[in-house]
Amino acid sequence: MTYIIKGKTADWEMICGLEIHCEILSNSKVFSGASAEFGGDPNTHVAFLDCGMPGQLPVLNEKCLEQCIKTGFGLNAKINKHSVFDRKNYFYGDLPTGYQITQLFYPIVGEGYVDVTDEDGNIKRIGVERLHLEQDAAKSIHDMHPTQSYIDFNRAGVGLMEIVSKPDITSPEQAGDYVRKLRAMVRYMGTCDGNMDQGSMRCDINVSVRPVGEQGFRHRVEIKNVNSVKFIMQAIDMEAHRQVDLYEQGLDFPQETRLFDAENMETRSMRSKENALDYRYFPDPDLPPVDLTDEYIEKIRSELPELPEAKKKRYMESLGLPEYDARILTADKETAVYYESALGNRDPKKVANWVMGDLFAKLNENYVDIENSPVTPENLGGLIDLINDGTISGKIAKEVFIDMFETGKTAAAIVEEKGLKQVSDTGAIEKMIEEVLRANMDKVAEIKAGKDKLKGWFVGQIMKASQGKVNPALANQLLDKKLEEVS
Amino acid sequence: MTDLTQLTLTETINGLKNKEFSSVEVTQAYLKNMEQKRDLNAYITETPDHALEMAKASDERRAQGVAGKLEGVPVAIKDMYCTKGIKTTAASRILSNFIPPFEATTTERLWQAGAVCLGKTNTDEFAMGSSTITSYYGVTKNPHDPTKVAGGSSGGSGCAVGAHMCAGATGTETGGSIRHPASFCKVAGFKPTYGRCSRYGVIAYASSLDVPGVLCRTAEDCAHMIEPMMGYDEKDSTSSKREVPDLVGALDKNIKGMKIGIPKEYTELVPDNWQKALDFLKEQGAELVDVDMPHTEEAGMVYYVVSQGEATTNLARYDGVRYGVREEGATLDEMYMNTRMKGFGQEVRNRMILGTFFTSAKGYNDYFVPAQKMRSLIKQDFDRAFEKVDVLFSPAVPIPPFSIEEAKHGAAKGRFNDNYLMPSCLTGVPAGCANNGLQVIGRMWDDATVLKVLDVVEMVK
Repeated sequence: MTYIIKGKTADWEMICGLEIHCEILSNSKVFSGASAEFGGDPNTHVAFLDCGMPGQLPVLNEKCLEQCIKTGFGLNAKINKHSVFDRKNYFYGDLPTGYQITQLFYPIVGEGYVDVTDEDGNIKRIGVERLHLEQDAAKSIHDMHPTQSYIDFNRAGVGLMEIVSKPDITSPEQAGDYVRKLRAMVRYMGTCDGNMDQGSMRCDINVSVRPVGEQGFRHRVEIKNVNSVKFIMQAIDMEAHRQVDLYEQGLDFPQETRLFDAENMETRSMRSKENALDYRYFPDPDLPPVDLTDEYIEKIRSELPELPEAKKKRYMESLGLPEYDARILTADKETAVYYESALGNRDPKKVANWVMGDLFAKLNENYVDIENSPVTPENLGGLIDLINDGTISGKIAKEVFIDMFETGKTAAAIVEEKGLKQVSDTGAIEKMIEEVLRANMDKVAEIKAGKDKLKGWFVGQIMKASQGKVNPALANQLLDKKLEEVS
Repeated sequence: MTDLTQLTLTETINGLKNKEFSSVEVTQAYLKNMEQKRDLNAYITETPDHALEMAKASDERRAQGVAGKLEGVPVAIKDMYCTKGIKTTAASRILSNFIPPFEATTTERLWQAGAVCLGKTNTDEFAMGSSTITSYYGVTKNPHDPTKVAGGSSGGSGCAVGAHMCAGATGTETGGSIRHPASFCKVAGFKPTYGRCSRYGVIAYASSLDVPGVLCRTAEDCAHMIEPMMGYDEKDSTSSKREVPDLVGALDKNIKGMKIGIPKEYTELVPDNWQKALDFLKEQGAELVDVDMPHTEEAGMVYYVVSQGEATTNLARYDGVRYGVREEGATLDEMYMNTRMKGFGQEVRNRMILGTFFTSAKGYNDYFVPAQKMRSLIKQDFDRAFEKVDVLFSPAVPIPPFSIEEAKHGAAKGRFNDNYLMPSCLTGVPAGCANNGLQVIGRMWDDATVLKVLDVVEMVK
């Protein structure tokens, strides 16, 4: 059902735009040589520029620019050959130079789009307005002292990509999928780790509502720094309802910034400290404009990794996997990497089943991420090989897998240690079959009379007698042979 | 022993090379002068121990046969350059306790060339002014008449050179701040093409205008001192990759056939030696050509709008949070206000308020953008002139130094104080003032020709 809020006076639709800040993966910060690595003891990744010392000058880290361009390709966007850095001026403790270097007038990336699945399961195209490159601020800590704030400048000057969507989002589901898709894409590109709890990907939401059919936009409210997809969807829903309630009561509200309070499930007005009225943007005289050649842009395009959509298509077309499997296996980079590593020359479907079935189950049960799986893709491949060459049965393999997960050992090692090799010695199996047949001649007679189903019972007995180690296909084959022989 | 402080920088280089005296000896001579003439208030910070250490190390290097281009030469550094471990104040209370943990590229190169650091010279606060009257550390007196100002903003450097308290000094020019004190103190001053000298470590006033330069006794001295300071610096994105020219080698005193432009807008008021200078240049074989610089009047306004707009943001970092002086407050905003009200002098505060206005949403469109457009028209004046001539020639500052009293009442804002200087600051061209108050302005990157002509011009008494 399309997202509509039913009010007393009207049906209301919601309009939403998202501004997402992604911390750029790079060794150093965007304009200084200090480390851009997350964490570290406070104030240990700080160049003189990052603490705003006199006479310090910004120097563009080209890697950060490249990361923006790669992300731009992931957004199907126009790469701007000419872009300029501007100063955004305001005073706050986390801003070491009293201005942020950003790009207002001429951003590095122009219009693009992200296709999402909406609340009805249809594909909807969400427009992207721009992506620009800017500096992150330092981190303020207000709760270490009753009257003073502490500031950690490790984050000050780390490169950020700000991705601004068009106000095309009309439901919390669309917003959630937009964020998920964006996150998967930047992780695939290797331009941002998409880690919302660490704050390397942050989302500001703009929400307004209007009666269905009304043209133009009403007041919008900005909700800042919501740090999970779940919260984003909840915050949007909550805020849309809050606005509808106010309008239905005949009230209005100001265009303002609010904070999402996850605990109390509400949005609250922010104190105006950060709402500077005029940022006095102007081009930064310390940095020349960025002018790119077609060759430079093409080179970056040629080095892009395979994106999720293309990968999924390839899995379906070249590997013959069904859409469901392809979708699951390409949903995130780490799973695809694991799958492709385990695949080798093996049967794509068999590998897919093991990854999506037994592996995922064990990973989820133990809260382990696939990149930390104790069963390496090579080892999983090895296990599948042992099934293929008849060393163990599929049933035994499942037990071996559990062992592999717990010990990290290879399948071969475990099979060896526990003596789980399938019995494929024809002679030994025939002997076992003869014993079982002799002990159950009445059932043999029934089979002869036409009750074929009992064959399965016999195979079961053989498996029991051999502690499951008999190769079932071989057992079936030899059983048939033996039954022939018995008159 | 002759008074070693009487030697020019060039003579000092040669004297040291010929082992006529040691760096320690000449450094001691300057330190003595600095002590004796302390009342001129040229220096904010004197570094005698450091100077003698450097001088001793220089003499030891020379004994090993190692000698840089400025080996053993004692120089003074304008207190706008960050010198590692040595207090750097920008003549402001807000930085009165600031000791940089890094060195400016230009001064680093001076030390690498073997120069010796005598101390940090006085300036108008954050280089905003042309008299040093706005300095937190008091005004610098004119070396030839202590009732007058030394000019500015590099007044401390001008006085130190003029009163023989150093062999040469660094300065910075944004709106004429090297040529002005050079004229007032009767010394030579040179400002290279914007981008020749790295701005890394130089406390920023107006980023698109600031140029590190020098004040010395002669044009030849300037050539010797500025050359090692020049050259590409990857730490400054506005730094030029062009090769450093051979400046000293260009001083062949031959200007035969050179076309020298005389802008009529720069000769409205001229000093006494003006006609003599024109005759002299003709005698030397130059051709004098009248040129028009029709947008000269606007330069002052453009300068104030652009420089103050840029200065406001460049000085936003001085907020008491991370270094420098802090005045506490009950809230962050209160702390900011207390710190900056008490930390900045009146002139700086005035300029920042105006600068904030010029870059505000409305002010940007009404003032800043038109000023930048006018700036390109001013540049076109120079481009057109340089189609006809090789250099421009005029008085630097046609008025004599004003008194300290007059400075307190705004004499530094007088029209003729810097109207011949400002246009060439807005376009990045190289310019210099000879020790007789006459200035030469050249084409972009043609630093060598400017110094060459200055070298000739200074022969006019």
